[in-house]
Amino acid sequence: VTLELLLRWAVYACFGYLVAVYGTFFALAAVSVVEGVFRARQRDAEDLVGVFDSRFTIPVSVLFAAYNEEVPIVNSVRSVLANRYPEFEVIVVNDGSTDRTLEVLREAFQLQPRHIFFRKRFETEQIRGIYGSDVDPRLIVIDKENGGKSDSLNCALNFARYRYMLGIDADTVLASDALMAGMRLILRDPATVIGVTSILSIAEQPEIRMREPRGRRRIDRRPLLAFQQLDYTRSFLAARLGWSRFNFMLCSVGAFSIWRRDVIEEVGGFSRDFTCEDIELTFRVHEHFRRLGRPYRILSLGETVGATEGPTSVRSLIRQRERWQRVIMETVFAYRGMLGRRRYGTVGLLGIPFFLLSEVVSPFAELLSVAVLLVSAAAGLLDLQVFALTIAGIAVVNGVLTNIAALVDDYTNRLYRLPDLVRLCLLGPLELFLYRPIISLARARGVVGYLRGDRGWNKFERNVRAAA
Amino acid sequence: MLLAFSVAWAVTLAAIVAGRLRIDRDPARLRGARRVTAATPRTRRARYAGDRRRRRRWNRIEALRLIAETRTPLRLAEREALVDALADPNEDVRLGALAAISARGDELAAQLLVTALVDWQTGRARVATELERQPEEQVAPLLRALLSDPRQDVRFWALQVIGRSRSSLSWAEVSELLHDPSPNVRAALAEGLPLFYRRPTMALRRLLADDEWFVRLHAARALGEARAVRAAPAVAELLRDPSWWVRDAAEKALVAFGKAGTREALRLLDDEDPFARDSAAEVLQDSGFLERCVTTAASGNAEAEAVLAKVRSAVGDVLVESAVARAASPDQTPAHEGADDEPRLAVAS
Repeated sequence: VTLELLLRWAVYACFGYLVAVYGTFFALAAVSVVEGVFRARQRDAEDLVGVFDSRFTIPVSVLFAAYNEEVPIVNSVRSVLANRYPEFEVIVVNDGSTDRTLEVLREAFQLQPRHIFFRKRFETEQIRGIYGSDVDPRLIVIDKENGGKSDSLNCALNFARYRYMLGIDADTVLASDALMAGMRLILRDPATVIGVTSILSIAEQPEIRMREPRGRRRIDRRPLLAFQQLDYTRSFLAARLGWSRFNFMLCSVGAFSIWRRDVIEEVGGFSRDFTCEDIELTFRVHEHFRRLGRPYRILSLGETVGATEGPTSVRSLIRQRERWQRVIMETVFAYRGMLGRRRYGTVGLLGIPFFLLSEVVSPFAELLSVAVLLVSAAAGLLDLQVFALTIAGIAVVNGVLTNIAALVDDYTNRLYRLPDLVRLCLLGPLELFLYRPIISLARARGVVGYLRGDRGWNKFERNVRAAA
Repeated sequence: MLLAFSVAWAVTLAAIVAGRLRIDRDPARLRGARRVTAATPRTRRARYAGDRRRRRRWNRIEALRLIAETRTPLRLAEREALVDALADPNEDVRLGALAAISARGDELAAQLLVTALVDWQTGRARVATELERQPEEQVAPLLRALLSDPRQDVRFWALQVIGRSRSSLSWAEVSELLHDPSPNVRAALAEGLPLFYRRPTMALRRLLADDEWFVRLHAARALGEARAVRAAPAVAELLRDPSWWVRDAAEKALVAFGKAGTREALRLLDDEDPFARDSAAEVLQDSGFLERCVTTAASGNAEAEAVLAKVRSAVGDVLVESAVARAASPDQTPAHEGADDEPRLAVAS
């Protein structure tokens, strides 16, 4: 066996992977276009004017888990309280923050200590204090010992009074119609739709971005943030919409995920055994409902429901994505029993194989392709022309996928300024050279972290705000 | 291959720009409805509105919308198209028709929406949101007729909408519904009684003793909303209810009763049931009574001190400590909007 033969086979493997993964991406993008257009038209046709003020809407408990979130938390809570939705409550859990999270909340919402005897459905870390707001009676703040995000969400669930819960991150600023956008399809079919998630914008300072009106919103000038926006848009609007159509939506994101509370209680709440809670919970709910053969739907929508903070430094981005990769590995390994099993329907036959291919195998495939490249170059076997054409091809293919996602986004939301949208599309082909290497590195570190059993959150520092 | 993808990239980018720059687009027009416009003649419009092909559904919805907006009397074909659309197997068509019909706000709309409330198997909540917007005098007689319908879900939804539209029911109707075999109907009755019956207390008190927990919950909540202070002793009994939700509703009602609720809560502080004690103490907290006790006790009032001691022995120190912290807070505002005039400490005795 010669080196050349080995390299040849390695190149075939890489090409095989590329064809498989991009083939799936394009198939999903096509389905996503159909789903995105369908949902946008459906929303237009439904005309929700009467629903906004109706008491027939379903009340929602909005749950925050906040650990060291003194910078974004007040804006985030304010954006929820300003939502146009008839009935909801907001429960913020301060997860033993070591910064001024509780103090800023206390000042902004005039919190007063009070006590509530709650239903203890889930065991959580000890509660240190409960606060009600003099400014808005819908707000409750719970101060507890540090126990992680899952523990905090379980604690909030113990206090939640309504049938649906919306979990959002403390750095997420919601649009004023976000609750209605999320609950719209649940109102149509509350018996079947048990979970809803939707896309968010990425911004350095979400509170500023959300002030810009529809159609005139900017995409951050910083390339790193613009690339993250591109990544989100593509992931949600050229993939997850397709997952949703086939009912294998595998990740209801922590930044905005609506769940029916009884479902969460039935599956045992948010698990503390994983690095993060969102993907694992989605997998667990699928596993539970498919195993019992009960009808259900978990939907991902194309409507931009808010903006969330994106890391502004490469280091922070790597830490964030490394954590995401770890939790993907943990979850896929934990639920490997669903893979390829007919009992689990599209989740086992399409969703998990796709996840495996695009999220779990990809760090290894990327490593293999880099290794092949280096060895080929060192051995003088690299055909530069073929290599350049291949790379250019991948870059353009990425660009096409980005454009498809941007097209669905614009059709659904009409949110961004046209020049900004065009800039996003122009960045599409460059992503392979400027952004993908960072993500590949983060993923590789995530794999190593997973193999080492690392369970740390590695939260990125919140972006600095200018003094008021 | 590279060339093909480059062309695809350029085409998709052009599509985004063209989509934005399309100047002929009417923002009020439904996307996907290319064949129907306001200028489409009525006969053709009616034909589109009756087109049952799935791929033409957006044109159909747009046509239905334009028909519903017509101010002149509807032709038979147009009327039939609206009726058919409300019964269409496609949910999007049904909901599109629902919104279009609702916007008319006339007698025909009321009739068709009530028919949808009866016939639809799913999505009745959406019909109810539209019925809520219709003039009360048009929908109320139609809905009242449904209260004797043999189907329990029809009776349930009729009651729900009657409650929201604030039309009134007679005692004979209420009395019959009190004995309805469906707990859902009884719960809807409890929820709506303060809205559609002038003296709801007696009926609600009867529902407080219902076998189903959610009927008791709605009865307690409704009594609170109606500020029916004479029902305070009966509501206070629910602080011992096995359901947390019922206890919670009773607690909120007692807070809303003000002084009468406080009196009942004080009575239950030494109850055998620990849940009743917890809830009673929470009533005292949420009504602002505990803070007033703290303030009064600080000036040496023995009666207030006795109340605080009683709360401590009932549920521990945590509530009193919270009250002390609140009382010490400089920017304190009233604890609950439902609390009425200052309850005298004499109620403790």
